Amino acid sequence: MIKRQLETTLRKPSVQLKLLVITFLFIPSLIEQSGIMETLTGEIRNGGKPTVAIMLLYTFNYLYFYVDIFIVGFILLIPDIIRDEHIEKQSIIMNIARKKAAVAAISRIVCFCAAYVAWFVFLTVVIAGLWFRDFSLEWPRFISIIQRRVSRQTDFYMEFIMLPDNCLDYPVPIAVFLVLLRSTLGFIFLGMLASLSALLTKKIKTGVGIVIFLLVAALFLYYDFDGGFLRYFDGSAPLLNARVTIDLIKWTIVPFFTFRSMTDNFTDWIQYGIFMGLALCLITGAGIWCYYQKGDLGDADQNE
Amino acid sequence: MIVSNSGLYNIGLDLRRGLTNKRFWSTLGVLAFVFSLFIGLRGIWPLTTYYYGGDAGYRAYVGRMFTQKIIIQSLIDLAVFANYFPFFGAVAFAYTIVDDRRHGYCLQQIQRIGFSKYYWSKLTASGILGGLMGTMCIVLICLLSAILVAWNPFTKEAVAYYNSWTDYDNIIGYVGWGYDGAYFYVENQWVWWMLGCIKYFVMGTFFGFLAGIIAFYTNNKVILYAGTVIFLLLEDKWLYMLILFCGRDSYISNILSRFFQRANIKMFGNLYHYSLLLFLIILLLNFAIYIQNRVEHFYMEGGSMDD
Repeated sequence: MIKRQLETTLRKPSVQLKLLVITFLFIPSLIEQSGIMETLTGEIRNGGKPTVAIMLLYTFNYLYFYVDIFIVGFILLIPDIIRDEHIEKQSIIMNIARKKAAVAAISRIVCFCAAYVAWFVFLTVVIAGLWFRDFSLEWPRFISIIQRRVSRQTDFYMEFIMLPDNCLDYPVPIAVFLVLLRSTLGFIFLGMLASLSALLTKKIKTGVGIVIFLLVAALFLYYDFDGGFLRYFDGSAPLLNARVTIDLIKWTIVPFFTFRSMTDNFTDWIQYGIFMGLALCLITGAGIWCYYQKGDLGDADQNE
Repeated sequence: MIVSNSGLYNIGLDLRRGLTNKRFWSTLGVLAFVFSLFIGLRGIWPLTTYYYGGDAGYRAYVGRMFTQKIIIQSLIDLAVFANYFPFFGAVAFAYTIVDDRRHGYCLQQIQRIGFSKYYWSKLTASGILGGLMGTMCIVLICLLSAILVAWNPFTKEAVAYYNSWTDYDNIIGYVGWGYDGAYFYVENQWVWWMLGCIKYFVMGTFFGFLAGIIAFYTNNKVILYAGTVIFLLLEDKWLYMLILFCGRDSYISNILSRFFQRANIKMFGNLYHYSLLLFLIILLLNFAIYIQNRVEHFYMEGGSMDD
């Protein structure tokens, strides 16, 4: 059932067109970034060369890729993935229980998000493989060198490679896995949120709108608002505590996809991203489940 | 009522329809409000640094930018604005093309005036209204954010402090008129405003045309709204690829680099930029002529559609 649904979704011409557009957007961006990566790491003496695994970490940690490519594509695809009334009605008519329809709806979103991430992982591996021709699973030295440079600067929040300090404690495959898991959970959350809001308001427009709002808020806070720090002067507090800083970035979707700076703690942020993403997925999934149990799926009697 | 079947009359009718539509004005208001809120929020943190003792670094620079009537520069610096400006062109009028087809209203009009006039009047109106939407939004955003930042009573002291600095030559950029080599520099701010309005009008017209063509061709609102933004992103990326392919210093790359749409304030009067925008508009018109027959078939055989 799930396989059939996924196949049906992927076979739609509009889905194929949108995926094609996003792929055409992704490939030059990746080539551009690979070129930049090569020149910048070439300047570091004895730094080693970037590998495919590093490029994967870089791609899925760089907010630019999300803002300009991944989430834009995801927003385009939302109307196709969150609801398929035809299949739902058909399955309810075929006397399949509502529970099964709910499981199918949730698993369609989960599978689609996993497939979406997997497609870009595949593209990254192919392009970075052709570009760098280095599939080794070791940390190159330039990461620690850049981290040392960054830690000396204080007011610096957007760096080249978004890999915080203690990521070097983890083996490369585990770091890649954690980052990809976090991104997938983030996409699943966005998809489920869009689905739930579209179900509740009966308009797909609302689902798309909510994701656009989250994206724009994150983009604004991250790029145009001092990295999400709200600083103000508290006149009533004693002088040493008068500078108040509120960190707004964890209230946006940024921690589900990336870190803020190289001085962050890798373990903390990835834990927050994965567990918070999981919790939000469970909450929104429960919401979809409840709606499928009680709500109107278009099969109720119409009193007209 | 005067009933005429001329093309100009129909363009006028469509323009009137767009301008008297409450959706046009509400979209304009909402977009202007959201962007000026962004600028206001962004302007408040550098201004509050004045209370820490006014440092002379980057923040002071940004703080002065917001006070010295250079809001238009901070607006086009916004990442959100730079990426999503094409959306202005799409929300101005192009959605009525999809709506008219969905509700079957297009058939009545086509019956009266013929498909060709219907097609061109809609496209022209979409272009002109896209340009108007862009220009009006820019002016409105700048006025609203002036109220939020420069004339805000809560940041009055800071604004007065930053305005007391006299050496602002390095902040206020110049605007030039002409081709690359022979720039004619103007420091007058009103010239900036005029050129900015013209530039964004031409850009909005281009994206309005594009949105109209997408609406006629795909008949899908999601693609219509996203299509213009994606066009900008794709154009950026593939221009970069072509420049990489031709070699950075080659003559072709030099020409190609003029096609980038994200202009800063110094590009307002660059005639290369205007000529290439006009070239792109002419290219689009050619494409519109090319697809006209196909769209006509699509319209004539389908009638009204549900979705």
